[in-house]
Amino acid sequence: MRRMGCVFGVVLACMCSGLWAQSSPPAAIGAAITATAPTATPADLELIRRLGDSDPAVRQAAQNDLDKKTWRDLDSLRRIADRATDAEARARVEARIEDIKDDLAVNPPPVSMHLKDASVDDMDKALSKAAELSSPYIPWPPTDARMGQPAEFYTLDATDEPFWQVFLELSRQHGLYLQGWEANRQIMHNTGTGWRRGVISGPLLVVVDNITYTRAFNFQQDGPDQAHAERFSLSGTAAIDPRVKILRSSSAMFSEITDDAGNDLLAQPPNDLMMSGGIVQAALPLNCELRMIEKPGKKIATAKGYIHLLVEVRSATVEIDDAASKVGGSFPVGRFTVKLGNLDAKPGSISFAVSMTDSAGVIGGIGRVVRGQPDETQSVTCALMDSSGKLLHSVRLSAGSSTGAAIGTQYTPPLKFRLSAPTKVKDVKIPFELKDLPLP
Amino acid sequence: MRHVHALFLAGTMAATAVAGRGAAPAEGPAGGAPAAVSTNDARWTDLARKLADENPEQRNAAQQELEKANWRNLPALERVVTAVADPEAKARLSERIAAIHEDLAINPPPLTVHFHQASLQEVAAVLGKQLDTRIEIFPEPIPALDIGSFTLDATDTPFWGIFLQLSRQHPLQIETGLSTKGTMRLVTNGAGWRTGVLAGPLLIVPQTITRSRTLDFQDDGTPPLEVMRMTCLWAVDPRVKVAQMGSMGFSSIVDDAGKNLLPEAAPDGRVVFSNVTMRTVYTNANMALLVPEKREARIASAKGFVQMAVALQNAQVEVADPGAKIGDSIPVGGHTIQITSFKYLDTAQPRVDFHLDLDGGPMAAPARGPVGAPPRAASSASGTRVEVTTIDATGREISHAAFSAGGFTASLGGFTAPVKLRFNLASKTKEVKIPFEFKDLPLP
Repeated sequence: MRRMGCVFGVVLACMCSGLWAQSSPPAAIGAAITATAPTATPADLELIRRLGDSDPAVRQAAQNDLDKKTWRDLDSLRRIADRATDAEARARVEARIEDIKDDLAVNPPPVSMHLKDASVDDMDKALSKAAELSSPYIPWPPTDARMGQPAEFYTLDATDEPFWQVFLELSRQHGLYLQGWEANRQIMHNTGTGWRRGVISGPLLVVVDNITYTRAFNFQQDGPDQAHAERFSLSGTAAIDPRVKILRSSSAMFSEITDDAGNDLLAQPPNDLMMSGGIVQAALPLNCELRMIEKPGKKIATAKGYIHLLVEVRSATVEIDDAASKVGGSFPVGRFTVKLGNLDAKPGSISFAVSMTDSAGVIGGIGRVVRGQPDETQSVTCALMDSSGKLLHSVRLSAGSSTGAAIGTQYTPPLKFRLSAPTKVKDVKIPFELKDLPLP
Repeated sequence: MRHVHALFLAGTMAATAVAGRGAAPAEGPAGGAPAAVSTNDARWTDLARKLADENPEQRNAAQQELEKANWRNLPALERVVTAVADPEAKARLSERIAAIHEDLAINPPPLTVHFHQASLQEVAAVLGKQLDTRIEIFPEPIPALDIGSFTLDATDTPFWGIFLQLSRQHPLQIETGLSTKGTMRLVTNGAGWRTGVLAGPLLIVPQTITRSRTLDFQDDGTPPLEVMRMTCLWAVDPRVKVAQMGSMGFSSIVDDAGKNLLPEAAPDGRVVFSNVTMRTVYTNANMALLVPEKREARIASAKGFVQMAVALQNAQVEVADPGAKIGDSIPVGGHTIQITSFKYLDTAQPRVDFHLDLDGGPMAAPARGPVGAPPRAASSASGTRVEVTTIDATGREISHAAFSAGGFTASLGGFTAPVKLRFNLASKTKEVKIPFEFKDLPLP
């Protein structure tokens, strides 16, 4: 057997968009997107003029400059759009603003975090805040269960780093990984090594846990040929930035795996089937069988793959405040209507039932999918929150279905529902590449 | 603790059955009960007389002869003991009869079968009859998936020896029945159990040895981890009622170079037993091995043992009309069961809900044993477990489960009313340690 000969190389792969390749963004995207300066700058005015110039060459050059604008320029673009009197110039700027916002849905901006000897709980809060998560991370095991264990402290100075880069740096201090989704996002502590090394590609983190070569002898098979079995497999995880709202996802899959001897190690072609229904987990398994080669190389030279996502880019959102007083009510969201059938809130427990009709007025039973395959673009996400904004539960209703839940949780009344129906979605394939993975 | 030898050396003939196309009817009994084919009542009557002889030497010689009696002599011994008047001779004979019964509970007698191009259904029927166990075939056989026929002549062969010979013809394995069926399943769509070691009532099946080499990319600088694991299972003759299952342990595993492959020898002391139902047939085991330096090595010898507690006596009580017994104390093997509720629900499909308590329930004072017996701990402390089987009006078992001091609650559907309850309790158990040895196992 060979010894591990070289260090696992991490490669920042090609991105699904060019956002990450651009200059360092500001720390708080929320502030960057919403703040509006009172007046346009001379540069803004000049761009407006050029976009409306009578010379097509000047207009094209201005458009090229406009296309280079990123989310960092959203403020100035809004100023430009407000000041533009030329209809074409205004339309071009507004179109660019929409493109940038679409891109942000898939490629959330980097984060900044500054910690010095922070506790587990403080670190989790800081990470949730830095990423502006609507539902913060819950440390696991919970605080009480960690009593008596060696304390973990985190120190980090990260400015404008990809979310996953920040996460990996924290995990290298004390092994961490993520699991769960939305209302159940958890940072797992005391997990051994955790995720320490990975490839970051846009909103995607690819973590290879291990490569295992297995040789087995099965005593119940006839003959040595049948009895001996060999297996070569790669095991890991693909995680999507928690700010990306995924409606549907494929598995993370490999399309090419080649060792340094030029052998093709990919045992099976990628299966691009998107899993549908339900809420997509924060971390998806990445498992791959490798081909057995008579004369394998010493390492995987390159392993290229991708994950296929359907991402919510825009949504119609409705909030039902003091939901307990509105049981029986119907609430339009997008082109759907959600009916709040029941909400029974007791100290420490809540049960509720909601149903959804589509534009044709079709309603189904619990869990029923009227039109066959669930279609997440035809869905409404019902998030139950308390008065402090704590997300208690999140469920996705398919068109023409109804559902409910019984939750045991502490909360601060009154309760409210946030209903959200996607109005614009984006189908994206996020590529990644792993390089120089030693073979066992 | 009694040791049972690895090789099953019971006598010359037990039950005999013949199955197959054109097969002749069997001579002798076809059931599972031991048959006295070499009956010689005069021999045992004479021995009984010597057991009561005034000469101590005569008595000792007779006792030594009596110790040689085995299950084949049981019918004769049981006939003779009823006719013996001398108290000492009667006591000695009775003691030997009890010892043979105890041995049979752990080491059921061998079987004799003759199959000639027999279908699996015919094989299952014959084996089921001899084992006194209902055997179903899974998946349900259909002509398109006919696995073929079996031909076997086996005389005085342990059940598992017959099973292995059949499985080598067409792969078979066993599953303990589903709780709703209470049967043993002969499974035809698995890999089958084709090779194994017989040890008393056990079949020890080595399944796989796996050697893996893993490179962990999240652990800094660690060299590849190489591990070897062995999986095997052990199956108990279905006639043996296992009250508690211990674990499998190995005392030595040596490769063909004489190198030790056992990370740590199993402790020789008492093992932790886990509760099972008396219908449990097999259990899996998985253990780590040391990785030999040499490739292409073989395990020269792997010596191990299985420990279990066998039910020697089983108290069984059947309650035909449970709804009429609510609140009654039902004695079972020195314990009492109370049916605290029993109600058929008024639903479209028949349903029944009931609750049972053992020895007054979890909060009861320590229960009293039978009259004259020393006081014993409450069920919660003694670990007493009662098996309850629910049987519908057609005789079909719809549920089988075990419960202890915590009580038992059931909500059952899918039956033909009325139902009855059958309680089984292992009233006498014996821990046994059965050694075995694997030899010459190839390593991956």
